Amino acid sequence: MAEAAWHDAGMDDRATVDAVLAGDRDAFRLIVEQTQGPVFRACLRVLGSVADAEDVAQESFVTAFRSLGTYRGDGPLSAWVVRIATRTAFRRRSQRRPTTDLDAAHGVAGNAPDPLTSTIADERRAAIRSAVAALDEPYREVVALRYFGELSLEEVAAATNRNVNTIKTQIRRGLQRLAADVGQDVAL
Amino acid sequence: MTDQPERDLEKALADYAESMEGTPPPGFADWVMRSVDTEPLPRRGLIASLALLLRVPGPYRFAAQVALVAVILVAGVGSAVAIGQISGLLPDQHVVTSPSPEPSQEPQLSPSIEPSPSLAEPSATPEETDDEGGPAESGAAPSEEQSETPRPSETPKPSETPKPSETPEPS
Repeated sequence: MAEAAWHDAGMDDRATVDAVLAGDRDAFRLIVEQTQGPVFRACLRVLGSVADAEDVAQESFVTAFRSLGTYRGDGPLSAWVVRIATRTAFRRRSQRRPTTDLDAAHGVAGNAPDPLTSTIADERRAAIRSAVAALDEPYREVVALRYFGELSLEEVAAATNRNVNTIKTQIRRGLQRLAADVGQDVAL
Repeated sequence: MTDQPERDLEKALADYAESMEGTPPPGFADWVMRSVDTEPLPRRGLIASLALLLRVPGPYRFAAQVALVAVILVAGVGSAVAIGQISGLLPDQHVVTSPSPEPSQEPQLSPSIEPSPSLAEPSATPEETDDEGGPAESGAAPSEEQSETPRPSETPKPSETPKPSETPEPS
């Protein structure tokens, strides 16, 4: 694979970005191939809909391409793109009708044994999505990056230009607010 | 994360993420690249360029930082000088606007030239202030007409008097 070839050649994120900025669009394809999994899943967890997640992930990559000149190389490029994706997904979520959330959740994890269990699981997932989306910033962003974007604390810190202790504090406060908002409904 | 509710929430979020696993559809990268191909090539941003400059390795790092500070200082001084020149031009614009109160002084003279209406109508003195306001709002042109206006037709508009207090700031 081309991706492996790039890693074998010792290309880091900065070099990949430099290649794109120098006119090598194929280098951006490598970025897409490396990060499409976490980007898509972050969008899916924010939106709850496969179709919306595909759309927003694609939009996020286009936004990342446009903004690639602002990437400073402070952290992993994947975390930078995931941050763009979560922001885009939350924006999309705020623009759509709230009634689509529960419906869109159907079929995501289609391994429920019976309709009742499936419905309860769907409701619980929708409650988590809504609770996280209702958090104020910066708690929403750090919680989403950590738990929806699969980023480590260090990656969240690098992506948001904050130090790790600040991220720990913000995640903890975000969880406290989540507990106050949804509490036992989510933690069942 | 010491509290039990927070641990429960962490677990709930992890379970949620696990239940929402998924992969992008086949050909997703091609789909993205088709959109990207229509975009113009991005250019390096100013902040990213500065950050890159500060990452110069080895002995040149300090020199790069000094050069960056020098550039920022020169840019700051230059912009300050430019702002000073621009602000130096601004009084000229005020002078352009100031003629509007100046012609309003002419009507002050015109009632005094005609003592008979001022005696006949004690309210003539407030009329003078009213007349000052009129041209200031509508423009500088009507100053000649105001020699006619001291007649009571325009004067009884006390609502116009507060407005001239805003305009006369000639200095």
